[in-house]
Amino acid sequence: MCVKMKIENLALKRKLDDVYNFLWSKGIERQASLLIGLIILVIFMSSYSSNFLSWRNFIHLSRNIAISGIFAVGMTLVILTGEIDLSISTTISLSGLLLIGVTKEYGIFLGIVACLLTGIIIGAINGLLVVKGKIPSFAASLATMLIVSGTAMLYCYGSPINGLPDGFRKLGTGLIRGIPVPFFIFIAILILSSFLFKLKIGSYIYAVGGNINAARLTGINVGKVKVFVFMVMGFLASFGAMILTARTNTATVYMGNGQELEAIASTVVGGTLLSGGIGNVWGTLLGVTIFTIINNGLNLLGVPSDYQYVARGLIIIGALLTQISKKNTKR
Amino acid sequence: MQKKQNGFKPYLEKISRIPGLWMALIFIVILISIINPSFFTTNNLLNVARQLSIKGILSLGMLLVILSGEIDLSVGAVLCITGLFTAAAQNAGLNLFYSILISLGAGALIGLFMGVLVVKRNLPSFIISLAVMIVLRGYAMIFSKGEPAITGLYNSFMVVGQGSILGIPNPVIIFIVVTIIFHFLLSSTSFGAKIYATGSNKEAAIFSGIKTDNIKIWIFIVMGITSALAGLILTARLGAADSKMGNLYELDAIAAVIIGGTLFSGGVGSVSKILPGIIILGLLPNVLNLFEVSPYFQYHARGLIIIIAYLLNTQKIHLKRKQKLNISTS
Amino acid sequence: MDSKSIPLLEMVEISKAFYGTQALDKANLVVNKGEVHGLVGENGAGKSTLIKILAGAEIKDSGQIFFKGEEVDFKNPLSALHAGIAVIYQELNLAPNMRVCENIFLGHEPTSDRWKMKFDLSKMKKLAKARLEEIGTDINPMSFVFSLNTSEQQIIEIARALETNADIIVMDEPTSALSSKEVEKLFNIIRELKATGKTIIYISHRLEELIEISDNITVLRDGRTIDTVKTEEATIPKIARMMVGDSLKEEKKKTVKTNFSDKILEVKNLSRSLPVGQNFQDISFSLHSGEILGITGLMGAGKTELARILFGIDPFKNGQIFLNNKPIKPKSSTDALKLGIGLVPEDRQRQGLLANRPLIENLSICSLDLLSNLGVLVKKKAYKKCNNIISQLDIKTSGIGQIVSVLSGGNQQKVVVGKWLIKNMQVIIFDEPTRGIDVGAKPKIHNIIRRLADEGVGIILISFEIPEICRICDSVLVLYKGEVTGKFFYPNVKEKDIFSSVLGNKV
Repeated sequence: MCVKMKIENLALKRKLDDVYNFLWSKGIERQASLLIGLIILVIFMSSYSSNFLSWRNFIHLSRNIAISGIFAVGMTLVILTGEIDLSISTTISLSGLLLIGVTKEYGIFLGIVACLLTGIIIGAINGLLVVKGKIPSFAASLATMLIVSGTAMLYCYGSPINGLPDGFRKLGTGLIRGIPVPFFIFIAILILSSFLFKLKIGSYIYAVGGNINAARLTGINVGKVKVFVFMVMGFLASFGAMILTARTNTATVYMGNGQELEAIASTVVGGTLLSGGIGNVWGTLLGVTIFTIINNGLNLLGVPSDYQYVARGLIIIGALLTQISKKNTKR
Repeated sequence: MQKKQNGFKPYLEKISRIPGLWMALIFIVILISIINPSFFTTNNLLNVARQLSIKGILSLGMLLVILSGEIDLSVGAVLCITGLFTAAAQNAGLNLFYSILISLGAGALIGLFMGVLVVKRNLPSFIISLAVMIVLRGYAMIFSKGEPAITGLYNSFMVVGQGSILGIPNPVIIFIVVTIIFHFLLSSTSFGAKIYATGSNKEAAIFSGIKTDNIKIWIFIVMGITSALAGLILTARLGAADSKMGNLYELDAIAAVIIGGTLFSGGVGSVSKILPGIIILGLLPNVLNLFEVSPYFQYHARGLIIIIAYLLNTQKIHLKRKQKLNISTS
Repeated sequence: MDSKSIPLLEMVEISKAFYGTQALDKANLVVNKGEVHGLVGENGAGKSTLIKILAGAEIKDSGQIFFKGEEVDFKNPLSALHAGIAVIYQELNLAPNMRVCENIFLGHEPTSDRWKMKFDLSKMKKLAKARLEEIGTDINPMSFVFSLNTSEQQIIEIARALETNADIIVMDEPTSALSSKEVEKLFNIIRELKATGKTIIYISHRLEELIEISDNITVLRDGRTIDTVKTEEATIPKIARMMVGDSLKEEKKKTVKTNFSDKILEVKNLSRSLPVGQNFQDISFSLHSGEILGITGLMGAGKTELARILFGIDPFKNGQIFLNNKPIKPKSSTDALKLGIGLVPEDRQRQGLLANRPLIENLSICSLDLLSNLGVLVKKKAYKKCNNIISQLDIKTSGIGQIVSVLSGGNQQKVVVGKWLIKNMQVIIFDEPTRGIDVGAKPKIHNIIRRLADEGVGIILISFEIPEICRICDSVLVLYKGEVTGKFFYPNVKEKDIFSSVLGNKV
């Protein structure tokens, strides 16, 4: 009788162990504490500012979470393979500029195509520089950033452009049953990313980040995986730019500024390791939410933007300090 | 194994020994003198020299960082904040010596902070320096309280940036001095030897009794001081400090170092190799002007330079290895 | 033709050189279907290179490989895998952040959709479970690899190899991190595999294991195949003798000093208990000025670990070290250097050389304080000393500015030794200094060592080659699995006795 119970306990313990390990591998262990932190943050914010819990603010928040989230999801994929993309800020700007510019001359359909193609091509360039050119990704994406930045400036001669058809603008400004359209899009992207990880290539992203040698030896085309994630990042950058541009109806050379840092910060805060292999998009979702709420809260409290900037940097450093080195894994 | 050669082959050989970068530089200079001879007025040249001195100093510090296998993206921000510090100090009436000291000290402390984080917590230097850059840029904006610029610098200070000795602008003199110091440091001191060892093969360096952690921390401190020095010169030259100084300077510094044949993995590179790179990058705006190309192409140029130079570097090393392998096993 | 009579695998006269070091010199390997074939040799004998060439991870310089009767040439690991050759490397190649079943099917996952893009997790789970049960283990296929211990991870690798329908499974040092119980488990699995017709190549330096599990054993040394013997006819001493070599005939017999005066180094009850590597207990010995102390033992005896502690790279908790009768506790290699202790490391490429730096930098790197004045290098002094070393050691180079990566193996080793000759060191530890060097160059290194001893330096020579030990050492310490099994002093330094201690017999 006792033996039987012991065996059952053992099996239960094993099952719990497995659940725990699953959570840990996906970086969820940290995410539980993040969630708690988020709840505390929300409570804190609402007590300090009456505006925080208003419906209007919620719409505002969810729109921001959505747009930042789209960029962050892409960044998560890149970081999972152990790389980084510092060029998305300029990709966003160029995509937005092309969207308006091409739409004005050739209509909205071609405008969208130009916009999205921009992101995909820039992503492909990043990927090829890293895989074929063997340039470390931080340097490659820095270089790409410069080139894209110049291109963006050339395109609009430095001045902002605007003028999207009203119908299209609904993409950024519209509401469905009171919830902003971007939010639905973001949820859709999250669902798509879950689907991605059910595909072989999604699994390979984790393999490449977890042990690139093992991945190679089993015949996985590591180069293809890396180029793929860079292209997805590029696509999401331009897609998000599309929504952003639709919302503000303006595109400028610097509209993407700071987005890469927020994307990286959200990913890192959300439990994804910079060295790759560990983490997931749901953690990033938490990270994005936390950042957006902090931004929003600071705005509501009237904190000047420079302080926000500093805070962002400090949070990144803090998050980095708590990164667990991959070598210190459980056993 | 030297075969006897005749004709003008030996001359070609001699010419081919001159490092390619200097050739490129000479080529550019010739190009400019053909298209726009007025470029070579003393005034213009001195101006160009003044410009590239500041970035050149940053490049020298960056060389040390990349040689050891790391990177520092915060140098522009450090330049800016230290410039603001010295301006504020002078405004507050602090004497010249201390207001310079504050800046250099701040640069050193920031470098120390980054170095410790990179070494002790094993964090990638690019992201740490990126985060520090953000913090410092933000702090710079706060510090300058949104005012366009802090003026009111001592005349004796502004001379550093605007004056000249025997016709040579002070920034250039400082740059030359720093170049000599760094060249000396890398080629003739034990610290320099340790830097190369750390970058070339960290494990072997440890097995040779070198404290690689300390070397890296010191390098970041030196980079911080160097950035502060550049900040002082720029502030002196502008006659004011504002929160946008030094924007994207780090990229120029990195580009110059990469052109000079240095690899991100570290251990290869030298001051003499990056000098032509510094000058080429300094001339870049002028060259682009010459061809009446939009100033926006500055960005493309820099990005392309980094990519092409890096690809050439890795190709060269690959070829060299193949070549030498054939020699040694034959 | 009867397929049983043709060997499953024939590697014929395989040669491979790396930057001047001859890793394999016309090595041969013949493996028959259904056997467990042991491959043995000390570090640097060429085992890993041979296997890497078989697995397509390296490309041979010359020679032929025949698999299933046909000539093959694997240009990459994938083609070898597809042909049916699976290798389980010592550093296990699993993705720790993924599940067991994901790892088992990595690269060839069963799919559930028409376009073969979506992997079928439940199918993977089922198949993995079946495969694991076949092997005889109850590891949960949904577990994450990072939560498994080494023994379990190895089993996953075996499962993965089986999943690729491998005909040959190569296991490279599979037991280095296993307990004896886990080793038994592994052996049962191997026996099962054999029963189902698989062929195993088992690489190990643990001779007792080879005797127990293998059918035939091939011995490699210095990149050459010494012999292949039937396990039932082999004994451990016989194999060990083949591994550690015949006497070197070219060298002169040494003239030995017997009166050593000053005790330079004394080690008392030193022990090591770090998670990785061979631990040892209670090591005690002393070294005199001018004495050459040999430390020998088979791979895994703890020799290199001891060297690392003396050089300050690894810490030690219990025991004492005295240098010139003063207690020392080097906490870093910098400390050791300051105390006058030097180490010529085992892994020349990774730990000994700054490959892309010039000769002069490599030679002067340990003596920077001596060669500089207040931090400034005195170049003239450095050039003089380095040129001195170059001629002393007869390093063949085009100049002090030559990048060392292009030097031959023997010359590279001279550089790694040479850097300790500029400063006057008290103790120099040589860890396998003649490994990977051609026979002609070995006496040269020995002469250098002898000369250093004549000058009063205390030398510790770590080597698995007993003839080498006997030829130059004044005294010998033998380690076996972390224990001292023998201490020998001239004139009682005899190969036979040392050999016996090396195998574990306490004197």
